[in-house]
Amino acid sequence: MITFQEEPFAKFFKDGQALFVQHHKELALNQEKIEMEMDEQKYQALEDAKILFVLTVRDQGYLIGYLVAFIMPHMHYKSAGLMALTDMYFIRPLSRRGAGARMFIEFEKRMKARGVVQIMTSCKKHQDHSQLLEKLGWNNTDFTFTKVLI
Amino acid sequence: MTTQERLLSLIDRETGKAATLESTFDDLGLDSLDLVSLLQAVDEEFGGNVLDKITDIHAVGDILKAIK
Repeated sequence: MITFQEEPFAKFFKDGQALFVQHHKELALNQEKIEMEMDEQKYQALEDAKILFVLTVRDQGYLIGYLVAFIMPHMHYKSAGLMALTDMYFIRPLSRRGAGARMFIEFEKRMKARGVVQIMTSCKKHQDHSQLLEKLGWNNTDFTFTKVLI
Repeated sequence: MTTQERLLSLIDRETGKAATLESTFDDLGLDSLDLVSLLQAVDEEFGGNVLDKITDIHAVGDILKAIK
């Protein structure tokens, strides 16, 4: 039985180590130049500041995916209300049958319940979820560009 | 035609798979996009806002419960 729940960062970080490696291998760009090293202290500080949101996906209690987001008023629209920006999301390949859609719907519900006025996310060009996100009512509004300088 | 028959027929039409009430989405080989498309089709035909209940829906029988 797959369940979705919000969890404290520390528990998620402890259980997520193997998935983070899998996630990085599958999706991260420029891996030969930029190593994965999650900043545990900074994430914890964001949680302490009530900015961090961690939604976990578990199957029989075993962590199979996650969606992490930052929730705060947008720097350009201070009085517009809370906005959420996803930091990362992942479902392990073995468990993907519909779990991603469920996770995004769960994320949206929980953001609505918190009074968040806008949610923002992105996906990689080599792992394009545009069709799914658009079916779920998201609008494709931006392009992101990256240039490695080392 | 009963609701159950209409639902199974819709699933057949949308996915090309012959489902039973016990069939899970995994059994039907649906990915996230397929699943959302199917539940949107169910919502269009039966109402019930099934897509919104997606986290509680794991098998075809759960859809039937949600639209009844």
